[in-house]
Amino acid sequence: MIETLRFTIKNSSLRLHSAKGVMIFLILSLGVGISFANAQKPTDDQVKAAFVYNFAKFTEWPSDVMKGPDTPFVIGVFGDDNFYKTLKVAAEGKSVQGKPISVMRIDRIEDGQKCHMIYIGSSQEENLSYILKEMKNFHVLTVGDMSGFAKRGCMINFTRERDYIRFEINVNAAERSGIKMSSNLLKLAKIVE
Amino acid sequence: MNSTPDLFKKRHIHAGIFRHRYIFISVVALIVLFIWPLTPANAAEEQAKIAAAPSLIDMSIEDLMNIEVTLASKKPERYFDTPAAIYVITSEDIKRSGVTSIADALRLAPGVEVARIDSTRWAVSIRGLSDVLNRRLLVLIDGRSVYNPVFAGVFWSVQDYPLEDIDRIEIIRGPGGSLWGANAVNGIVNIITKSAKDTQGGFVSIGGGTEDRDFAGIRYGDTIGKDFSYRIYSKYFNRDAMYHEDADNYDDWQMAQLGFSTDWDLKDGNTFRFQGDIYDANVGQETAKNIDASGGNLLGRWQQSGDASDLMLQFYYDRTYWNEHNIQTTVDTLGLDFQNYFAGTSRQTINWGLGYRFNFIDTKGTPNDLEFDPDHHNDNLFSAFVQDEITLVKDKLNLTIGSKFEHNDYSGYELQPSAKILWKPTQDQTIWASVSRAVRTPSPIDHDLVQWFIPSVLVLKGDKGFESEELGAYEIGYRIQPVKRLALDVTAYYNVYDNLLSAEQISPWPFIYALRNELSGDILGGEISIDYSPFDWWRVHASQSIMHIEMKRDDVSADPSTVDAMENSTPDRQTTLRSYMDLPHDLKFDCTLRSVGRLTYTPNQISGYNSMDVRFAWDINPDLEISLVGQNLLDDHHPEYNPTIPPAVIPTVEIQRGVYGKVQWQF
Repeated sequence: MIETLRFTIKNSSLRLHSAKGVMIFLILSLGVGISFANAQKPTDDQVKAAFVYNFAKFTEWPSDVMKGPDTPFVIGVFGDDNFYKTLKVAAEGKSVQGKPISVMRIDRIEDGQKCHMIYIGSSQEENLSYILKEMKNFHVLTVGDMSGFAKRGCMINFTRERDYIRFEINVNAAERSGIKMSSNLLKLAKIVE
Repeated sequence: MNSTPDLFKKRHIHAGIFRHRYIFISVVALIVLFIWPLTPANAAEEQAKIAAAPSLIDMSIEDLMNIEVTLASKKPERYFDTPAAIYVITSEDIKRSGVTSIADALRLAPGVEVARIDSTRWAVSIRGLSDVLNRRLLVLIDGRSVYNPVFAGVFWSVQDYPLEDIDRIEIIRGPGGSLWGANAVNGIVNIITKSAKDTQGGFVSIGGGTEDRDFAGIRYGDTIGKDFSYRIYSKYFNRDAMYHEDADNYDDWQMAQLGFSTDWDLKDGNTFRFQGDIYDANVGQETAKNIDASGGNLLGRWQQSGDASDLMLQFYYDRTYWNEHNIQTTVDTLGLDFQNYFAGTSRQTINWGLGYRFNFIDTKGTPNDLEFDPDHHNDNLFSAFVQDEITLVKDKLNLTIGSKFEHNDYSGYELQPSAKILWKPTQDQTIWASVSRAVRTPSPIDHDLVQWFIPSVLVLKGDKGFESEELGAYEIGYRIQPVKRLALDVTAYYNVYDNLLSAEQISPWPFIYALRNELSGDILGGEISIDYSPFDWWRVHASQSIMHIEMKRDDVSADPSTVDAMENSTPDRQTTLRSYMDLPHDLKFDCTLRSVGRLTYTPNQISGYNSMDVRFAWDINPDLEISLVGQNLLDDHHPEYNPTIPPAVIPTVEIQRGVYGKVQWQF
């Protein structure tokens, strides 16, 4: 059986005709494309990172979690490494309400409790209920990134309208945690109850 | 052999040199292209580019809401942690490949064998055992099974949907484990349409060409109040016949479909979806034997997503009417499914469900040709499943065990257990392994078929004693995403089959063959796929699948040809290379190259082939796009499959090169 498999693998290398095909493919690909790396639209992660920074600016936390001018403003990212990297590059060095922003990747759910704000990627769809339960008694602004997350209790959730980023706010969830969002945010969001 | 002229030999040598030059240049070019963007200099450039984005971070929300972002429809990351060979065809894949049918879209997934038989028919299989009926696949559209219970297969010609409104197609290679129903033996195709919320506004698409002669689609979606959204659509196509050596171009065909979908957001995480479709098709088949096919369905689904549990309740009704020259069938199906998912403890999540399906089957055959005995059936199918996902080491090691239990009117109780283990040595790597059992339960075709190949002389009959076909599957897989731009997925499997369908001669005159379960065998194979994005504006996908099928007859069997058909009707290798390129001025250039191995089934040999599809599109503005697509560009025509079973003889139809243009506008 193994002999036969090896034989199969050997024969599977592209034959003359396909080699020609590969060449055509490469030439076409290269010929039309090689020098146009710039002039790109931003990726959705880059725009979402900017949104996240704005959410932080326009939200009021209870004073006990904002004490101490030297402690950082912590944003945790859950289940999306690419977004973590983008946000880290974009937001660190900025500050929110006088506090320097620190972006951390969250591997253990409990670590989310130390954050002012957490971003929950779509990979955590199945853990969402559990994550929200763990955040319940802490003043953590939860930002989700998958359709349905706001309905399920995320305070803010990203949505998409054609090629544009939109967001929805679950007012009740925010109220329960003692976090106040400014009218600037509320008037631009789709409100979910 | 000795008399080969010298001239010929020389040409052969020349071809060899050319081949090596091609391969050499290709390899060098590939290495340069694929390694260069990973170099440190490039990584630094990348960082600089992200850092150049700070202009974004200082923007107000109002401005951010007006920024157009690239449609990087990234694969949802949760698939990365699935202990199964899963591949997701995204809506962008469908759009940029330029395919015009669901069956052709399935070619985009590694390990799926799609062979177009003629203009109207496809043989689709996953991990081997290809046949025109695709018996061993479970195909779902929004949770509705489109497996035809009479023929034990899928009529791909009438499985259609506006391709723009398909959200994704999830393909699971291998048995679906305990979650999915019977017939999910070799794999599952799960077609998921967009929610009405995501298809708001108007959309018109219209086009035509040489093979896809003319087609048009229209959709309108809107929201009523705050929580109720809907869409309605209609589509139509007219396709040309493929190439016939004898110019008997019988397989041109037309189809029209319309439907709706609604989503209603209720309070407290409750959602309700209600949708339906109807279609009518005139499917060309052999001269003057056109098939009249029509059908429709209605589906309702209520979902509740709570704090610690999810509930789903779904019902559907489906009618499929299929009228061939010698048989007419009507199938009415009622399906009811319930699923519950909850966290048992912090270490366990339990997923369980119940299902019921009722099939009302009515057939009208032609005596001495093709009929079913008895000609109608009321079939009940009861099923239940339970699955427990246990966290052994948090975020590192997961064990999932479960089973599906089923009772059907043909083979009684069926048990389909599975165990899967998933290990994440690091955040960017996943290793999984699974062992499972799956069955293909009998259908009317296995029990009740009476098909005369030569009237009064040679007949193939179903058998009331036909049992389920069984599979024991062993799979392992590995995924790694070392950097954002590169992902690799490798799988290997060993499938052991028993009780496979065979045809045994039970009477010397007339020749009566009966369906029995006297074959067994195994398939060893693997798939590898690589997704790589050298630049933001260029994405490449490459995949390769290989397999070796070995079937044998049990001692009592004298089956004349099924072993040959099963072993040699699936290509033992397939290679795909795909490229998506975003060019300046809102131009897009996409290309797919495919190489498929030969089929050596003795009566219907098909040589291996290579094909290339190319798509060129221009977004004139965000709402208006024109595109030009070329399909099968490397030859005028080539054969892909001939499903004929001897002694019937139907000449092989060849798939032709096709070109079409399309305009789409949203408002």
